[in-house]
Amino acid sequence: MAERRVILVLPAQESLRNPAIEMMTTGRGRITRRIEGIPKRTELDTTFAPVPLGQIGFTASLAMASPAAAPRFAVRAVMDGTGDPMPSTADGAQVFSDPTISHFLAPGCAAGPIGDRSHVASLLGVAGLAAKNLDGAGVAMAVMDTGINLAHLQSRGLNPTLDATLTWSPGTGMPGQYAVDHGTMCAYDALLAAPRATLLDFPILLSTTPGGSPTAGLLSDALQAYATLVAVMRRSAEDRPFQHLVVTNSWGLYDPNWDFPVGHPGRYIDNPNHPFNIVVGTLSRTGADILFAAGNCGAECPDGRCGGVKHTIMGANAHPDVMTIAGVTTKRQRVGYSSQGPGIPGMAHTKPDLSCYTHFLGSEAFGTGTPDTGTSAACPVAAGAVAAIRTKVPHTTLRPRDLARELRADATRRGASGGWNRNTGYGILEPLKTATRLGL
Amino acid sequence: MGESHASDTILMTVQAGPQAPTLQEAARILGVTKSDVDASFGVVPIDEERGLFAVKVGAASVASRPASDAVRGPFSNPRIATFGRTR
Repeated sequence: MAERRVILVLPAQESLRNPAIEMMTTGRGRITRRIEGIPKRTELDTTFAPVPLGQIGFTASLAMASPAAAPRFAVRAVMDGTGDPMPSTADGAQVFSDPTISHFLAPGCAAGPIGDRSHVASLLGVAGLAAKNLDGAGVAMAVMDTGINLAHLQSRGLNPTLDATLTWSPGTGMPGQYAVDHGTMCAYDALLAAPRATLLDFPILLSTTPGGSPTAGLLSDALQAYATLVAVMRRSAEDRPFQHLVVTNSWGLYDPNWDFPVGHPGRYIDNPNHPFNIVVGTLSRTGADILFAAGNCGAECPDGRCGGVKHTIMGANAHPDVMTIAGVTTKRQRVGYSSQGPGIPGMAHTKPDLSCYTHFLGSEAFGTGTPDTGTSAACPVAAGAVAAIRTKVPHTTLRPRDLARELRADATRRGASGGWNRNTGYGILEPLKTATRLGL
Repeated sequence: MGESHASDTILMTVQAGPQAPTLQEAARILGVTKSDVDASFGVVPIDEERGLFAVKVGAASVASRPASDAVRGPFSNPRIATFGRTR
Protein backbone atom coordinates (compact mmCIF):
# COMPACT_ATOMS: atom_id res chain seq x y z
CA MET A 1 0.00 0.00 0.00
CA ALA A 2 1.20 3.52 -0.71
CA GLU A 3 2.52 5.52 2.21
CA ARG A 4 2.49 9.26 2.53
CA ARG A 5 4.27 11.45 4.97
CA VAL A 6 1.80 13.89 6.44
CA ILE A 7 1.46 16.54 9.09
CA LEU A 8 -1.56 16.10 11.30
CA VAL A 9 -3.14 18.88 13.32
CA LEU A 10 -4.75 17.51 16.45
CA PRO A 11 -6.69 19.05 19.35
CA ALA A 12 -4.65 19.88 22.42
CA GLN A 13 -4.07 17.12 24.94
CA GLU A 14 -1.55 16.60 27.69
CA SER A 15 0.33 13.92 25.79
CA LEU A 16 1.08 16.54 23.11
CA ARG A 17 1.47 19.55 25.38
CA ASN A 18 4.08 18.01 27.64
CA PRO A 19 6.62 17.04 24.96
CA ALA A 20 6.05 20.46 23.33
CA ILE A 21 6.91 22.20 26.61
CA GLU A 22 9.89 19.90 27.01
CA MET A 23 11.05 20.88 23.53
CA MET A 24 10.83 24.56 24.41
CA THR A 25 12.79 24.17 27.61
CA THR A 26 15.36 21.48 26.81
CA GLY A 27 15.51 21.38 23.03
CA ARG A 28 14.23 17.79 23.03
CA GLY A 29 10.64 16.59 23.06
CA ARG A 30 9.47 13.08 22.36
CA ILE A 31 5.93 11.70 22.39
CA THR A 32 5.81 8.97 25.03
CA ARG A 33 2.11 8.56 25.75
CA ARG A 34 -0.89 7.53 23.70
CA ILE A 35 -2.37 10.27 21.49
CA GLU A 36 -6.11 10.61 20.98
CA GLY A 37 -7.47 11.29 17.50
CA ILE A 38 -4.87 9.56 15.35
CA PRO A 39 -6.57 8.42 12.14
CA LYS A 40 -6.72 4.75 11.25
CA ARG A 41 -3.76 3.22 9.37
CA THR A 42 -1.57 6.08 10.53
CA GLU A 43 1.75 5.67 12.26
CA LEU A 44 2.82 8.59 14.40
CA ASP A 45 6.45 9.76 14.36
CA THR A 46 7.05 9.88 18.12
CA THR A 47 10.51 11.42 17.66
CA PHE A 48 8.96 14.60 16.25
CA ALA A 49 8.17 17.09 19.01
CA PRO A 50 4.57 18.38 18.68
CA VAL A 51 4.40 21.97 17.43
CA PRO A 52 1.90 24.17 19.28
CA LEU A 53 -0.52 26.06 17.04
CA GLY A 54 -2.96 28.84 17.80
CA GLN A 55 -5.96 29.99 15.81
CA ILE A 56 -5.99 33.68 15.04
CA GLY A 57 -8.19 36.08 13.11
CA PHE A 58 -11.68 35.52 11.79
CA THR A 59 -10.64 32.79 9.39
CA ALA A 60 -9.20 29.49 10.47
CA SER A 61 -5.58 30.33 9.83
CA LEU A 62 -3.11 28.75 12.15
CA ALA A 63 -0.15 30.34 13.82
CA MET A 64 2.28 29.26 16.47
CA ALA A 65 1.17 29.58 20.05
CA SER A 66 2.78 28.86 23.39
CA PRO A 67 2.67 25.15 24.25
CA ALA A 68 0.94 25.85 27.53
CA ALA A 69 -2.09 27.51 25.92
CA ALA A 70 -2.14 26.15 22.36
CA PRO A 71 -5.51 24.72 21.29
CA ARG A 72 -3.93 22.50 18.64
CA PHE A 73 -0.69 20.74 17.90
CA ALA A 74 0.98 19.58 14.71
CA VAL A 75 2.60 16.17 14.62
CA ARG A 76 4.34 14.14 11.94
CA ALA A 77 3.04 10.83 10.72
CA VAL A 78 2.87 8.34 7.87
CA MET A 79 -0.53 7.39 6.45
CA ASP A 80 -1.22 4.17 4.60
CA GLY A 81 -3.65 3.71 1.74
CA THR A 82 -4.40 7.35 1.10
CA GLY A 83 -5.63 7.83 -2.43
CA ASP A 84 -5.56 10.90 -4.60
CA PRO A 85 -6.49 13.49 -3.68
CA MET A 86 -5.20 13.17 -0.14
CA PRO A 87 -8.04 13.77 2.37
CA SER A 88 -7.98 17.10 4.19
CA THR A 89 -9.31 15.46 7.31
CA ALA A 90 -9.19 11.94 8.62
CA ASP A 91 -11.06 10.75 11.67
CA GLY A 92 -11.28 14.34 12.93
CA ALA A 93 -7.61 15.26 12.39
CA GLN A 94 -6.61 17.85 9.82
CA VAL A 95 -4.19 16.40 7.28
CA PHE A 96 -1.49 18.37 5.48
CA SER A 97 1.20 17.22 3.09
CA ASP A 98 4.78 16.95 4.26
CA PRO A 99 6.66 17.05 0.97
CA THR A 100 10.35 16.57 0.49
CA ILE A 101 12.15 19.89 0.46
CA SER A 102 15.70 20.87 -0.43
CA HIS A 103 17.74 24.04 -0.60
CA PHE A 104 17.23 26.16 -3.70
CA LEU A 105 20.10 25.85 -6.08
CA ALA A 106 20.26 29.22 -7.73
CA PRO A 107 20.57 29.15 -11.51
CA GLY A 108 24.21 29.18 -12.40
CA CYS A 109 25.34 28.08 -8.98
CA ALA A 110 25.56 24.59 -10.45
CA ALA A 111 28.90 23.57 -11.88
CA GLY A 112 27.81 22.07 -15.18
CA PRO A 113 27.23 23.96 -18.42
CA ILE A 114 23.79 25.18 -19.42
CA GLY A 115 23.71 25.11 -23.21
CA ASP A 116 26.61 25.53 -25.57
CA ARG A 117 27.97 27.99 -28.10
CA SER A 118 25.32 27.07 -30.65
CA HIS A 119 22.62 28.04 -28.16
CA VAL A 120 24.33 31.34 -27.50
CA ALA A 121 24.73 32.00 -31.21
CA SER A 122 21.08 31.22 -31.78
CA LEU A 123 19.93 33.46 -28.95
CA LEU A 124 22.10 36.33 -30.19
CA GLY A 125 20.89 35.88 -33.76
CA VAL A 126 24.41 35.41 -35.09
CA ALA A 127 23.16 33.89 -38.36
CA GLY A 128 20.93 36.90 -38.89
CA LEU A 129 23.78 39.26 -38.10
CA ALA A 130 26.04 37.41 -40.52
CA ALA A 131 23.36 37.65 -43.21
CA LYS A 132 23.58 41.42 -42.79
CA ASN A 133 27.39 41.19 -43.01
CA LEU A 134 27.64 42.20 -39.39
CA ASP A 135 30.59 40.00 -38.45
CA GLY A 136 33.10 42.36 -36.87
CA ALA A 137 35.15 43.01 -40.00
CA GLY A 138 37.18 46.17 -39.52
CA VAL A 139 36.53 46.19 -35.78
CA ALA A 140 39.24 45.60 -33.19
CA MET A 141 38.34 43.91 -29.92
CA ALA A 142 40.79 44.58 -27.12
CA VAL A 143 40.70 41.78 -24.56
CA MET A 144 41.99 43.19 -21.27
CA ASP A 145 42.75 40.00 -19.42
CA THR A 146 45.34 37.27 -18.86
CA GLY A 147 46.47 36.97 -22.46
CA ILE A 148 45.22 35.04 -25.49
CA ASN A 149 46.29 31.66 -26.80
CA LEU A 150 45.56 31.62 -30.52
CA ALA A 151 46.40 27.95 -30.93
CA HIS A 152 43.65 27.01 -28.50
CA LEU A 153 41.13 29.16 -30.34
CA GLN A 154 42.12 27.47 -33.60
CA SER A 155 41.82 24.05 -31.99
CA ARG A 156 38.25 25.00 -31.09
CA GLY A 157 37.38 25.67 -34.72
CA LEU A 158 37.91 29.42 -34.82
CA ASN A 159 40.01 31.29 -37.34
CA PRO A 160 40.96 34.38 -35.39
CA THR A 161 42.89 37.40 -36.55
CA LEU A 162 45.15 39.10 -34.03
CA ASP A 163 47.11 42.32 -34.43
CA ALA A 164 50.28 41.70 -32.43
CA THR A 165 51.57 45.23 -33.02
CA LEU A 166 48.96 46.77 -30.74
CA THR A 167 49.46 45.47 -27.23
CA TRP A 168 50.64 46.37 -23.78
CA SER A 169 51.74 43.97 -21.11
CA PRO A 170 53.11 44.40 -17.61
CA GLY A 171 55.32 41.37 -18.13
CA THR A 172 56.89 39.32 -20.84
CA GLY A 173 55.24 37.17 -23.46
CA MET A 174 54.01 37.46 -27.01
CA PRO A 175 50.49 38.48 -28.01
CA GLY A 176 48.45 35.43 -28.89
CA GLN A 177 50.92 33.06 -27.26
CA TYR A 178 50.04 33.23 -23.61
CA ALA A 179 49.05 30.17 -21.60
CA VAL A 180 45.47 29.01 -22.06
CA ASP A 181 43.53 30.67 -19.30
CA HIS A 182 40.79 33.16 -18.56
CA GLY A 183 41.86 35.54 -21.34
CA THR A 184 41.58 32.82 -23.97
CA MET A 185 38.06 32.08 -22.76
CA CYS A 186 37.18 35.76 -23.12
CA ALA A 187 38.64 35.93 -26.64
CA TYR A 188 36.69 32.84 -27.68
CA ASP A 189 33.45 34.26 -26.33
CA ALA A 190 34.06 37.64 -27.96
CA LEU A 191 34.39 35.99 -31.35
CA LEU A 192 31.04 34.21 -31.13
CA ALA A 193 29.12 37.10 -32.68
CA ALA A 194 32.05 38.83 -34.40
CA PRO A 195 34.23 36.11 -35.95
CA ARG A 196 35.95 38.55 -38.31
CA ALA A 197 36.92 41.07 -35.65
CA THR A 198 40.62 41.60 -34.99
CA LEU A 199 41.75 40.65 -31.50
CA LEU A 200 44.06 42.93 -29.53
CA ASP A 201 45.82 41.19 -26.67
CA PHE A 202 46.25 43.24 -23.48
CA PRO A 203 47.29 40.83 -20.69
CA ILE A 204 46.92 43.36 -17.89
CA LEU A 205 46.22 40.63 -15.35
CA LEU A 206 49.65 39.07 -15.68
CA SER A 207 51.25 41.56 -13.39
CA THR A 208 54.85 41.26 -12.42
CA THR A 209 54.47 44.28 -10.18
CA PRO A 210 54.96 43.57 -6.51
CA GLY A 211 51.52 43.01 -5.06
CA GLY A 212 50.25 41.28 -8.17
CA SER A 213 49.87 37.55 -8.75
CA PRO A 214 50.02 35.16 -11.74
CA THR A 215 46.42 35.86 -12.73
CA ALA A 216 45.82 39.19 -11.10
CA GLY A 217 47.18 42.64 -11.54
CA LEU A 218 47.18 46.13 -10.24
CA LEU A 219 44.93 48.91 -11.43
CA SER A 220 47.97 50.85 -12.60
CA ASP A 221 48.58 48.09 -15.17
CA ALA A 222 45.11 48.63 -16.56
CA LEU A 223 45.70 52.38 -16.58
CA GLN A 224 48.77 52.03 -18.77
CA ALA A 225 46.95 49.70 -21.14
CA TYR A 226 44.10 52.17 -21.47
CA ALA A 227 46.50 55.02 -22.15
CA THR A 228 47.97 52.91 -24.97
CA LEU A 229 44.51 52.49 -26.48
CA VAL A 230 43.79 56.21 -26.15
CA ALA A 231 46.95 56.95 -28.11
CA VAL A 232 45.91 54.54 -30.86
CA MET A 233 42.43 56.02 -31.04
CA ARG A 234 43.87 59.54 -31.31
CA ARG A 235 45.51 58.60 -34.58
CA SER A 236 43.69 59.63 -37.71
CA ALA A 237 41.34 57.03 -39.13
CA GLU A 238 43.78 56.48 -41.99
CA ASP A 239 46.61 55.71 -39.58
CA ARG A 240 44.61 53.26 -37.49
CA PRO A 241 44.63 49.60 -38.50
CA PHE A 242 40.96 49.32 -37.63
CA GLN A 243 37.82 51.38 -38.03
CA HIS A 244 36.42 50.87 -34.60
CA LEU A 245 37.46 49.66 -31.16
CA VAL A 246 35.53 47.58 -28.64
CA VAL A 247 37.16 46.94 -25.26
CA THR A 248 36.09 44.02 -23.10
CA ASN A 249 36.94 43.89 -19.39
CA SER A 250 36.12 40.80 -17.33
CA TRP A 251 37.84 41.93 -14.16
CA GLY A 252 37.49 44.20 -11.17
CA LEU A 253 37.63 44.28 -7.40
CA TYR A 254 35.87 41.68 -5.29
CA ASP A 255 36.13 43.46 -2.01
CA PRO A 256 36.07 47.16 -1.05
CA ASN A 257 38.80 46.26 1.39
CA TRP A 258 41.19 45.96 -1.55
CA ASP A 259 40.82 49.73 -1.93
CA PHE A 260 41.45 52.76 0.26
CA PRO A 261 39.03 53.13 3.20
CA VAL A 262 35.57 54.65 2.86
CA GLY A 263 35.75 58.42 2.65
CA HIS A 264 39.35 58.59 1.43
CA PRO A 265 39.49 61.08 -1.47
CA GLY A 266 41.86 58.79 -3.36
CA ARG A 267 39.58 55.79 -3.25
CA TYR A 268 38.91 54.07 -6.56
CA ILE A 269 35.63 52.20 -6.34
CA ASP A 270 33.30 55.16 -5.79
CA ASN A 271 35.35 58.00 -7.18
CA PRO A 272 34.88 59.33 -10.74
CA ASN A 273 38.04 61.42 -10.26
CA HIS A 274 40.32 58.43 -9.75
CA PRO A 275 42.90 58.39 -12.58
CA PHE A 276 41.65 55.09 -13.92
CA ASN A 277 38.06 56.28 -14.05
CA ILE A 278 39.27 59.42 -15.80
CA VAL A 279 41.14 57.47 -18.48
CA VAL A 280 38.10 55.24 -19.04
CA GLY A 281 36.07 58.37 -19.78
CA THR A 282 38.82 59.65 -22.04
CA LEU A 283 38.92 56.41 -24.05
CA SER A 284 35.15 56.45 -24.37
CA ARG A 285 35.27 59.99 -25.76
CA THR A 286 37.61 58.82 -28.50
CA GLY A 287 34.76 56.61 -29.69
CA ALA A 288 35.64 53.23 -28.21
CA ASP A 289 32.85 51.04 -26.87
CA ILE A 290 33.89 49.82 -23.42
CA LEU A 291 32.22 46.91 -21.69
CA PHE A 292 32.80 45.72 -18.14
CA ALA A 293 31.57 42.60 -16.38
CA ALA A 294 29.20 43.34 -13.51
CA GLY A 295 31.07 41.01 -11.16
CA ASN A 296 30.50 37.68 -9.44
CA CYS A 297 29.11 38.81 -6.11
CA GLY A 298 25.42 38.00 -6.64
CA ALA A 299 23.45 37.22 -3.53
CA GLU A 300 22.67 33.58 -4.31
CA CYS A 301 26.21 32.27 -4.75
CA PRO A 302 28.86 34.97 -4.47
CA ASP A 303 32.50 34.22 -5.13
CA GLY A 304 34.40 33.48 -1.94
CA ARG A 305 36.48 36.62 -2.39
CA CYS A 306 33.46 38.95 -2.27
CA GLY A 307 33.38 41.40 0.61
CA GLY A 308 29.57 41.40 0.56
CA VAL A 309 26.69 41.29 -1.88
CA LYS A 310 25.51 44.90 -1.75
CA HIS A 311 26.88 47.64 -4.00
CA THR A 312 29.38 45.22 -5.49
CA ILE A 313 29.31 46.83 -8.94
CA MET A 314 32.01 49.34 -8.30
CA GLY A 315 34.85 51.30 -9.83
CA ALA A 316 34.99 51.38 -13.61
CA ASN A 317 32.54 48.48 -13.65
CA ALA A 318 29.97 51.11 -12.61
CA HIS A 319 31.34 53.89 -14.83
CA PRO A 320 28.68 55.90 -16.67
CA ASP A 321 30.59 55.61 -19.96
CA VAL A 322 30.78 51.82 -20.01
CA MET A 323 28.22 49.10 -20.63
CA THR A 324 28.06 46.92 -17.54
CA ILE A 325 27.08 43.34 -18.31
CA ALA A 326 25.29 40.93 -15.98
CA GLY A 327 25.11 37.19 -16.62
CA VAL A 328 22.19 35.00 -17.70
CA THR A 329 22.10 31.36 -18.77
CA THR A 330 20.97 30.17 -22.19
CA LYS A 331 17.63 29.57 -20.47
CA ARG A 332 17.55 33.33 -20.04
CA GLN A 333 17.69 33.16 -16.27
CA ARG A 334 20.06 35.27 -14.25
CA VAL A 335 23.00 33.31 -12.85
CA GLY A 336 23.09 33.43 -9.09
CA TYR A 337 26.60 34.82 -8.91
CA SER A 338 25.97 37.80 -11.19
CA SER A 339 26.45 40.99 -9.19
CA GLN A 340 23.32 42.99 -8.60
CA GLY A 341 22.81 46.69 -8.80
CA PRO A 342 22.53 49.45 -8.17
CA GLY A 343 26.06 50.62 -8.75
CA ILE A 344 28.03 51.80 -5.78
CA PRO A 345 27.02 55.31 -4.64
CA GLY A 346 29.28 57.83 -6.34
CA MET A 347 29.25 55.98 -9.65
CA ALA A 348 26.33 55.32 -12.02
CA HIS A 349 23.20 54.05 -10.28
CA THR A 350 21.49 52.01 -13.00
CA LYS A 351 24.04 49.22 -13.20
CA PRO A 352 24.14 46.64 -14.65
CA ASP A 353 23.08 48.04 -18.00
CA LEU A 354 22.40 44.81 -19.86
CA SER A 355 22.61 41.05 -19.51
CA CYS A 356 24.21 38.49 -21.76
CA TYR A 357 24.94 34.78 -21.83
CA THR A 358 27.32 32.83 -19.64
CA HIS A 359 27.74 29.39 -18.06
CA PHE A 360 27.70 27.60 -21.41
CA LEU A 361 30.01 25.08 -23.03
CA GLY A 362 32.26 27.19 -25.19
CA SER A 363 36.01 27.65 -25.14
CA GLU A 364 36.74 24.69 -22.84
CA ALA A 365 39.77 26.71 -21.81
CA PHE A 366 39.62 25.02 -18.43
CA GLY A 367 39.20 21.49 -19.71
CA THR A 368 36.87 19.36 -21.77
CA GLY A 369 33.28 19.77 -20.70
CA THR A 370 34.05 22.75 -18.49
CA PRO A 371 31.76 25.74 -19.08
CA ASP A 372 32.69 29.34 -19.68
CA THR A 373 31.41 30.94 -16.52
CA GLY A 374 31.15 34.15 -14.61
CA THR A 375 30.12 37.55 -15.80
CA SER A 376 33.60 37.14 -17.25
CA ALA A 377 32.02 35.18 -20.09
CA ALA A 378 28.89 37.33 -20.42
CA CYS A 379 30.94 40.49 -20.99
CA PRO A 380 32.94 39.35 -24.04
CA VAL A 381 29.86 37.70 -25.55
CA ALA A 382 28.19 41.09 -25.36
CA ALA A 383 31.34 42.79 -26.65
CA GLY A 384 31.24 40.55 -29.71
CA ALA A 385 27.64 41.54 -30.33
CA VAL A 386 28.61 45.21 -30.11
CA ALA A 387 31.52 44.59 -32.49
CA ALA A 388 29.15 42.94 -34.95
CA ILE A 389 26.93 46.01 -35.01
CA ARG A 390 29.97 48.29 -35.28
CA THR A 391 30.86 46.57 -38.57
CA LYS A 392 28.51 49.04 -40.23
CA VAL A 393 28.00 51.76 -37.62
CA PRO A 394 31.09 53.88 -36.99
CA HIS A 395 31.36 55.81 -33.76
CA THR A 396 31.25 59.02 -35.75
CA THR A 397 27.66 58.09 -36.65
CA LEU A 398 26.61 56.66 -33.31
CA ARG A 399 28.65 57.55 -30.24
CA PRO A 400 29.24 54.82 -27.63
CA ARG A 401 26.63 56.25 -25.28
CA ASP A 402 24.11 56.40 -28.12
CA LEU A 403 24.75 52.81 -29.16
CA ALA A 404 24.35 51.74 -25.53
CA ARG A 405 21.00 53.52 -25.46
CA GLU A 406 19.88 51.76 -28.65
CA LEU A 407 20.89 48.37 -27.25
CA ARG A 408 19.04 49.05 -24.00
CA ALA A 409 15.92 49.97 -25.95
CA ASP A 410 15.73 46.54 -27.61
CA ALA A 411 16.77 44.40 -24.66
CA THR A 412 14.35 41.72 -23.49
CA ARG A 413 12.96 42.84 -20.16
CA ARG A 414 12.74 40.40 -17.29
CA GLY A 415 9.98 40.55 -14.69
CA ALA A 416 6.99 42.81 -14.48
CA SER A 417 8.89 46.07 -14.64
CA GLY A 418 9.49 47.44 -18.10
CA GLY A 419 12.46 49.51 -17.06
CA TRP A 420 15.72 48.89 -15.29
CA ASN A 421 16.05 46.31 -12.56
CA ARG A 422 18.95 45.43 -10.29
CA ASN A 423 19.34 41.87 -11.55
CA THR A 424 19.46 42.12 -15.33
CA GLY A 425 19.61 45.88 -15.89
CA TYR A 426 17.51 46.92 -18.88
CA GLY A 427 17.29 43.31 -20.02
CA ILE A 428 18.98 40.69 -22.15
CA LEU A 429 20.95 41.95 -25.12
CA GLU A 430 19.19 41.51 -28.49
CA PRO A 431 21.74 42.62 -31.09
CA LEU A 432 19.84 41.35 -34.13
CA LYS A 433 16.75 43.27 -33.08
CA THR A 434 18.83 46.44 -32.71
CA ALA A 435 20.61 45.89 -36.01
CA THR A 436 17.31 45.40 -37.80
CA ARG A 437 15.73 48.45 -36.21
CA LEU A 438 18.73 50.56 -37.17
CA GLY A 439 18.29 49.41 -40.76
CA LEU A 440 21.66 47.67 -41.00
CA MET B 1 35.63 41.83 4.75
CA GLY B 2 38.59 39.99 3.41
CA GLU B 3 42.23 40.83 3.76
CA SER B 4 43.50 44.06 2.30
CA HIS B 5 45.10 43.80 -1.10
CA ALA B 6 46.15 47.41 -1.56
CA SER B 7 49.61 47.70 -3.04
CA ASP B 8 52.44 49.73 -1.56
CA THR B 9 52.35 52.09 -4.51
CA ILE B 10 49.89 54.88 -5.13
CA LEU B 11 48.90 56.97 -8.10
CA MET B 12 49.16 60.75 -8.34
CA THR B 13 47.98 63.06 -11.05
CA VAL B 14 49.76 66.15 -12.20
CA GLN B 15 48.36 68.90 -14.34
CA ALA B 16 50.74 70.18 -16.97
CA GLY B 17 50.57 71.65 -20.44
CA PRO B 18 49.47 69.76 -23.50
CA GLN B 19 52.84 68.04 -23.62
CA ALA B 20 53.56 65.27 -21.17
CA PRO B 21 56.06 66.38 -18.51
CA THR B 22 59.27 64.45 -18.21
CA LEU B 23 59.77 62.22 -15.21
CA GLN B 24 62.00 64.92 -13.74
CA GLU B 25 59.37 67.61 -14.29
CA ALA B 26 56.63 65.39 -12.82
CA ALA B 27 58.79 64.77 -9.76
CA ARG B 28 59.34 68.49 -9.36
CA ILE B 29 55.63 69.22 -9.58
CA LEU B 30 54.96 66.52 -7.02
CA GLY B 31 57.70 67.75 -4.74
CA VAL B 32 59.51 64.43 -4.67
CA THR B 33 62.81 63.24 -6.02
CA LYS B 34 62.99 61.58 -9.41
CA SER B 35 63.88 58.29 -7.78
CA ASP B 36 60.55 58.35 -5.92
CA VAL B 37 58.68 58.16 -9.23
CA ASP B 38 58.23 54.75 -10.86
CA ALA B 39 60.21 55.13 -14.08
CA SER B 40 58.84 51.94 -15.61
CA PHE B 41 55.32 53.30 -15.26
CA GLY B 42 56.40 56.68 -16.56
CA VAL B 43 54.16 59.68 -17.05
CA VAL B 44 50.87 58.41 -18.43
CA PRO B 45 48.40 60.75 -20.16
CA ILE B 46 44.92 60.15 -18.81
CA ASP B 47 43.14 63.22 -20.20
CA GLU B 48 45.26 65.25 -22.55
CA GLU B 49 42.49 67.79 -23.16
CA ARG B 50 42.81 68.74 -19.50
CA GLY B 51 46.59 68.27 -19.48
CA LEU B 52 46.23 65.53 -16.89
CA PHE B 53 48.88 62.86 -16.35
CA ALA B 54 49.27 59.99 -13.91
CA VAL B 55 52.44 58.82 -12.21
CA LYS B 56 53.07 56.00 -9.78
CA VAL B 57 55.07 56.58 -6.63
CA GLY B 58 55.87 54.76 -3.45
CA ALA B 59 53.16 55.32 -0.89
CA ALA B 60 55.61 56.63 1.68
CA SER B 61 57.12 59.33 -0.54
CA VAL B 62 54.07 61.58 -0.77
CA ALA B 63 52.01 60.60 2.23
CA SER B 64 52.68 63.74 4.20
CA ARG B 65 53.06 66.25 1.39
CA PRO B 66 50.32 68.81 0.80
CA ALA B 67 48.65 68.76 -2.59
CA SER B 68 49.03 71.81 -4.80
CA ASP B 69 46.55 72.92 -7.44
CA ALA B 70 48.55 71.00 -10.03
CA VAL B 71 48.68 67.82 -7.99
CA ARG B 72 45.91 65.41 -6.99
CA GLY B 73 46.29 62.31 -4.91
CA PRO B 74 47.20 59.98 -3.45
CA PHE B 75 44.88 57.64 -5.34
CA SER B 76 44.66 53.95 -4.61
CA ASN B 77 46.32 51.34 -6.79
CA PRO B 78 44.36 48.26 -5.73
CA ARG B 79 44.76 44.68 -6.81
CA ILE B 80 42.36 43.61 -9.59
CA ALA B 81 41.25 40.08 -10.53
CA THR B 82 39.28 38.20 -13.14
CA PHE B 83 35.53 37.69 -12.72
CA GLY B 84 35.76 34.02 -13.42
CA ARG B 85 37.88 30.99 -12.80
CA THR B 86 41.54 30.85 -13.66
CA ARG B 87 43.89 27.93 -13.96
